[in-house]
Amino acid sequence: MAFHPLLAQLHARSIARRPKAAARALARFAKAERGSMLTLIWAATHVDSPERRATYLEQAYEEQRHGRMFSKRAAELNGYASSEPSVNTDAEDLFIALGEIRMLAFLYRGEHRAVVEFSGYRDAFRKAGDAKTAALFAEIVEEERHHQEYPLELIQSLTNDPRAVTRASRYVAAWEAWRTMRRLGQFMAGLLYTGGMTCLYALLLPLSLWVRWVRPEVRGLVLAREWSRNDRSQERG
Amino acid sequence: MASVLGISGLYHDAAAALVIDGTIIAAMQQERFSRVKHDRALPKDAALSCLRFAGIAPEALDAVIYYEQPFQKLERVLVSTLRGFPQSFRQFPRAMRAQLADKLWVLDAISETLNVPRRRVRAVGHHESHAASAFFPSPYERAAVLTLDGVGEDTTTALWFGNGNTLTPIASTAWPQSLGLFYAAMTAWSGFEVLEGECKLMGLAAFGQPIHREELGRVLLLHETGEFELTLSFFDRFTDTELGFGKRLEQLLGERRDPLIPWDLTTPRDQHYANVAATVQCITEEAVLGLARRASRETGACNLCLAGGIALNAVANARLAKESGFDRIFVQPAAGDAGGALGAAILGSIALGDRRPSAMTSAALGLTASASDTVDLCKHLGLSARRVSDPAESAASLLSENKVVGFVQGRFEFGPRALGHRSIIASPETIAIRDRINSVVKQREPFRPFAPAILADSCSQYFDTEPSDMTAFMTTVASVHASVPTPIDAVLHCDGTARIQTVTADAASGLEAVLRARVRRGEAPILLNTSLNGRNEPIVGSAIDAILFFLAHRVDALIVEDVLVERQT
Amino acid sequence: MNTILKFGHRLHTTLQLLGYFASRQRFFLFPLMVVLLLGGLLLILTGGLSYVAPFVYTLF
Repeated sequence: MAFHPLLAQLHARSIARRPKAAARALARFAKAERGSMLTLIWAATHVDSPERRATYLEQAYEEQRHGRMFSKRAAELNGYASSEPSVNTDAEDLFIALGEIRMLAFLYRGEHRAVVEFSGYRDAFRKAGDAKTAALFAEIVEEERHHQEYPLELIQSLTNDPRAVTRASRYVAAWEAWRTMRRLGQFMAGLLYTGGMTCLYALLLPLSLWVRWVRPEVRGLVLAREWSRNDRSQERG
Repeated sequence: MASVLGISGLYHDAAAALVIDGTIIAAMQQERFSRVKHDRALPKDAALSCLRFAGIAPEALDAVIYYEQPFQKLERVLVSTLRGFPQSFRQFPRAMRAQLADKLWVLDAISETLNVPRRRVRAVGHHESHAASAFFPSPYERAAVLTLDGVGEDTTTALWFGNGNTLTPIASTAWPQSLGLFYAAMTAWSGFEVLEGECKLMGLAAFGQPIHREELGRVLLLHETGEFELTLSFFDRFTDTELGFGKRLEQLLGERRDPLIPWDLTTPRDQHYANVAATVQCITEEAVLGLARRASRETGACNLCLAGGIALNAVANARLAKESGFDRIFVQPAAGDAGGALGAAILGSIALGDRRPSAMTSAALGLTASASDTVDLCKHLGLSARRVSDPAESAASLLSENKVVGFVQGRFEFGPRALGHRSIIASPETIAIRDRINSVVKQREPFRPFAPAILADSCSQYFDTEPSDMTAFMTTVASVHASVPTPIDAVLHCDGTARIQTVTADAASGLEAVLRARVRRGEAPILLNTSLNGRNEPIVGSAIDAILFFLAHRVDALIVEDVLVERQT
Repeated sequence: MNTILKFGHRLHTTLQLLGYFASRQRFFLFPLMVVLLLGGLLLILTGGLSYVAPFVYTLF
């Protein structure tokens, strides 16, 4: 989840002196980086231009690297030597969902946000005396700066329209806001559903007793009705 | 002449398979496209790729067959959550939501996604799909078929009789008596990730002794009839779908292992987990053996086919080959849920009057990687790439310099094993090579071995087995001879076994050519073969995936068809 | 048109589902099925069914 810069700063200050909390945050960042990696791999697969394919692939590699760096540091903060990058992740095929130009605008906005927020985390960890984590964020911030620059250049070169960036950014901002609202709505509906289903379940005691009566558990192998020993192969003679 | 597409998905390992006129045309896992390991999403990319490969439009399909019956599944979910009252109160809302979200409407979703008329989309049984995926591509006219997994609709284990074009059910075991869930729960208890860690548990077993037979004998009871019985209280009756086991199991065997602590088998703590792993492996083998012998008694067949997740346990398969009494055993390489897509497609094809497919000789049923895409990408990324006249010779030359090479040739494999089409290959001689691959690519636990690929006609020089229906697909293990012509330390497990692949030109022409090139150079006809992927990633599919792998992992070279990409020093 | 077609498919599947649970050996589950479908309808209308986190053990 993307934080507002001010919220990010507050969060950074709250976790910088708490290794376990910091580890959890870094694990979340690792997951987000992996999501970005997938988005860019998919973009590389869809795009026709070999040049842009290479650009997206290169960024995918860097996002993957960032993810591993976050995972590794998270493991160290937890007191372990090795890290176990998460297999599960959320990612969207933005090339298909938004089209290439708007996807680039999304990348620009996302990377810009990352630069601002990660700079805050860098400063917070530096202030807390954790030089290693601070250096990690510093390195990633530098690479994210490039990641935020090239999408704008690409939009300009692909559209030759000086207003394309603004238009695309506005669209993506609205899309992101709608997506956040939709996710919030889904979350609330999900909560309501879970509550409702749990209440329903509580009322199902009589049915559960009936089920145990009419559908008892069966152990072992149950022979199929169709099977007859006459079907046995003659091979063994 | 029917065109039938089989689909598996929505649980784990989504895949699509296409059968036309009784011939298996293509079979692909969705994870190769999405790059999400064990991807469960409806395999749209895999399905469309199968169709594009065959040059047919979705509208031309005669049938699309899904590998599981959704209504039967829902029935089992309802019955089991009601039986589990009140412990299942957390499971119930989640399970209902999962069913209502997509699983109930899967046939509609397939129709809409692929633009196929709804009346042509049908479902078959889960274990029937597994059985079909094992028997029909096998070289046997008649065989006993054993399917073992976590659970399908309601069945966890099933025995079948395969005869020509027909599969007859013999017997089955119902949920929650599940050997697959037992193994998965023990995997989780050992600190590994479910679906990913089962093979790690199998590898760990060789480092322990099965000294907990008495304790685990109370967890999994084995009967002389070949049946097994789980004591469900150890697993909280599977009402906790995050953990899979209960406090009673931890009281019996000790606490669950913390997944984040690095492994050190010199410590008593980790040795204990290895001993439990050895016992789990032993008791699972005995359970499978009992079921196989029961299948033999029921059918009188000389051949056995296996499918379902448990069929991927190569060590158990080796024991079956020695002790079950069957002459021949076949395990289709995508024995897990991905293979269900293939089984479903074949069932649909046979139902429409086509013959069963001819015997599967190669798992290479995916797409090729583009050499020209590779060249273009390398040019723009500043990587050194050049065309070579003889990729096999180039690979052999690099291997003789003790280099580690990514090897991409032909169509990618169907299933979890890399069989020479998307492989990392290296010389098998020294531990140093194994350690290097582990540190730069795989970052595996120290107890996990790498596997050898050997020319089929040289197999008996190194191993105590002849090439078989299983060795071609790396679904069994073999012991190495006490004395071998050349050292192969990098591919041996601590107990002197290896999960071998016997290579022929039919199955993997590119890899076979590398091995022949090695022989011409006076080197051994055997090499180290591991899958071309980083840690927790799906195996590489396309040129894009291969190049990304090369950027992220410091292997020495990458060969994609006839393009050699080398790291500039 | 697409939406109408999708709605048609879902309705057909719902009727098939109810028919499946209306059989003799499953009839005791029929009322629960109706309630669940109504609950599911509410969730579809609010978009709450769009994402369900994956299970560790893929039993459901």
